[in-house]
Amino acid sequence: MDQTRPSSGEVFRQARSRHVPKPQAAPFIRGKASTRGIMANVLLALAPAVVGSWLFFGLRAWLYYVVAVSTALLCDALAQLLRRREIAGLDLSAAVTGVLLAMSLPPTAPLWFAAAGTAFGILVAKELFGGIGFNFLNPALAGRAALWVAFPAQMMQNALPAPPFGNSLTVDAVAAATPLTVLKTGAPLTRQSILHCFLGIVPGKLGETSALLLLLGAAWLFARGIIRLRIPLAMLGTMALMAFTLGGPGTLFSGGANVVLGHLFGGATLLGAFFMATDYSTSPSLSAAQWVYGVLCGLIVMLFRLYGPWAGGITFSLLLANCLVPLLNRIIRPRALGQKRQTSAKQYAPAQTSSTKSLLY
Amino acid sequence: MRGQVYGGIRIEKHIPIREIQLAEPGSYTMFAPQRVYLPLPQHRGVHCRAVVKPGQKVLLGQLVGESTHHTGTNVHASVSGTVLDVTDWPQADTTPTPTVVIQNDNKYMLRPDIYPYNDWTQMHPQEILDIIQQNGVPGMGVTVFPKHGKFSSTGSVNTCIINCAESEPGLAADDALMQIKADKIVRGCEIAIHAYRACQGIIAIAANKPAALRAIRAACRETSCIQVVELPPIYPHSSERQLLQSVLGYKIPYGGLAASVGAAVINASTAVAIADVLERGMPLVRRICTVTGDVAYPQNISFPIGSLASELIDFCGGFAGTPARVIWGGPMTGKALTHLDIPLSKASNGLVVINTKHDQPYRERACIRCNRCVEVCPMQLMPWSIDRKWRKKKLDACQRLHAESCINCGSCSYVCPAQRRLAKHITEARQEIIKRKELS
Repeated sequence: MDQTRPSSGEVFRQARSRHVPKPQAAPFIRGKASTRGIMANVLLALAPAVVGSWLFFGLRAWLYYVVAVSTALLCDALAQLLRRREIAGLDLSAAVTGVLLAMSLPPTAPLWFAAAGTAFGILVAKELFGGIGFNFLNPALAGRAALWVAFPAQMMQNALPAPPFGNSLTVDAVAAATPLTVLKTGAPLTRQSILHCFLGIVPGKLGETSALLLLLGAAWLFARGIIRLRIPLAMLGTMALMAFTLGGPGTLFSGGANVVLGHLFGGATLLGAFFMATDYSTSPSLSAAQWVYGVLCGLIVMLFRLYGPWAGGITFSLLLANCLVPLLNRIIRPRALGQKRQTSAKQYAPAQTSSTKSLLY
Repeated sequence: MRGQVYGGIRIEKHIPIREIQLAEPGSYTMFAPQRVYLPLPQHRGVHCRAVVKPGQKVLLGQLVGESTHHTGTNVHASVSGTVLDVTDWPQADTTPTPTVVIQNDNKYMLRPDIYPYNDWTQMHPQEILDIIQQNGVPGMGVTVFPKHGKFSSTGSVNTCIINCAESEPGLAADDALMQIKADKIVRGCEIAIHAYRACQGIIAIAANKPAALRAIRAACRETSCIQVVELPPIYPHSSERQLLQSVLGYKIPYGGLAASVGAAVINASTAVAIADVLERGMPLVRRICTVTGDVAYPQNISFPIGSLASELIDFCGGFAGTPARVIWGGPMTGKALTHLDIPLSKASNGLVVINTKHDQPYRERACIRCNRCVEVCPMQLMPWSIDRKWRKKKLDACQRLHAESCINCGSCSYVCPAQRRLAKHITEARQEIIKRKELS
């Protein structure tokens, strides 16, 4: 053996005396996933729809995104400062909130709507409840709901898109009927209008009109393993079923393919199903609970649409479903491997009485 | 594969643990230490009494520590030479333990009374168990169990599974063992079937080890009661519960042991040791471990039990770069050593060095509840939730979330995008719950 080389025991001792790494428990290796990476992927998935809003409503549409995202990052940084935490604005989750909020604004809204909605979402719905991971309402949805409640008239407006690049966007187009308002009046949708709805050439909000672009983004999220399809599938399935059974013009089971597709592609349905209902902190953890949550989302949306005053209703129904998540977490308990249903109830029921409160966060 | 296992992770290629470049397929090198430090209680539970004195000459395979209880295992000299001392020496967990120190004379003189036992097929199962105990074979997995204690555990065993799936990513000791000593693994399986009075044996191998699979298949050709099963290369498939679920399709009942579904799991090194004991009469004095990571020449080493970690790393050409951590065991569940004068035990299957360039210290951020930990947990727990409760010291809530059934695989921490120390906290919660249960 090479006698000149110091023994590794000595080398290790010296290395430790120079730099002692914090004591750390296993595992000592880690996968690549990071919060920032996940959020960057979500932003990337939203990119087609963001490009689409330029295509449909002109370059001015992008101003909303700029305002919303910068407000979101500023609010996030401010909240971290106030809470004396390290500034985590760069984890990009606030940017996702900003983009999602801007996507749901009408193209005719004043620019400060984007700032106000985002600020409400980030500061009130997210940071007041403990920041990322602790909010029980989706911040983008909350901001949007606040705008809806405060300014229903402006939020109700829709502009007819004018592709390419919104060159011919005019104020005349303001009161155009969306596919969902057509459905609401009971009038039939033509195959032509379903196709337009799929491509996005229908009146609507900035980023919500094109089902195609949203589905592209959803496919990216799924392929990268960012979302699972349980919630969207359950939600869209329930919606399709309800549109088929109750959405028809007259009797039960008379909702045709056009009614079903109109409900699935119209309004904020796809944006809600793939990007908002799957929001990490406002959806349940266990797969069984996720299925139930998805069904609940679809059910509430369709009840709103069929029997409520509005044509849309994604915003409020998803917020309602968000509120039910703690309940779902309470009812559907995790079961460890090899555990039987009965023993779980027997063994753990008495203990639950002691600190029931802790279960609801 | 019979059953679908929940969760688990496919360890990605980019982990900073180098794959061992084997000189020839499944090779390992023999290592000769200057001294060996034989800790006497090398397994859970019972202590061992030294039967040698300082200054005494010992031969390879000679008894140096005698178990004082029927569940303990004996300790044998792993080299021939002179006993320097019987003293307290630190173990991997830094607790000083009575240790026999032997100066190696490099002659490897075998104890003269080592002879093959009579044909084991004619022996009574209890006799086999006694022989295994006398020759110091514990279970050589991560949790060291006196093997014959497992052998004599309650419940009838009908299936005997040899676990040849590498316990951790980066380690290749079992791979080498399977390629070189395939026939011994098969023989060990046969002996175990006989000793358990079982009716079938299964050798479970990860599907990404084609050479090992070929070798074992070839060795199994003669026997009819042993089946070779391929496992998908997912961590932690080699854990007992996951293995049974995958191979037999059984779930071990909550809180139960493998025996409760009529199965016994033995790992590859133990099978080889059992075969050595009964076919050659050779007690357990050597085993194979993988020394890898940031050392100059990562390799599989067959070392005499009690060799020091520092000597093994010297043998591999020393460190590559400035060492940050030396991990006793594998990178997912191992312990970080604070110094290297630690003897390797009968349970050591790996020594992983991570240098300052490859070190990944944790920088905890807020949990975003992305559910990745829930999806990878092989025990179907909710790691983020247990972690949150444990930080608030809500032990009841942890117990309701079944923290005590955690198997410490570390998958949750591996996938966490917020770098939370999930595995660490769940382990703490688990220990606390177990302590509380024992008190009440």
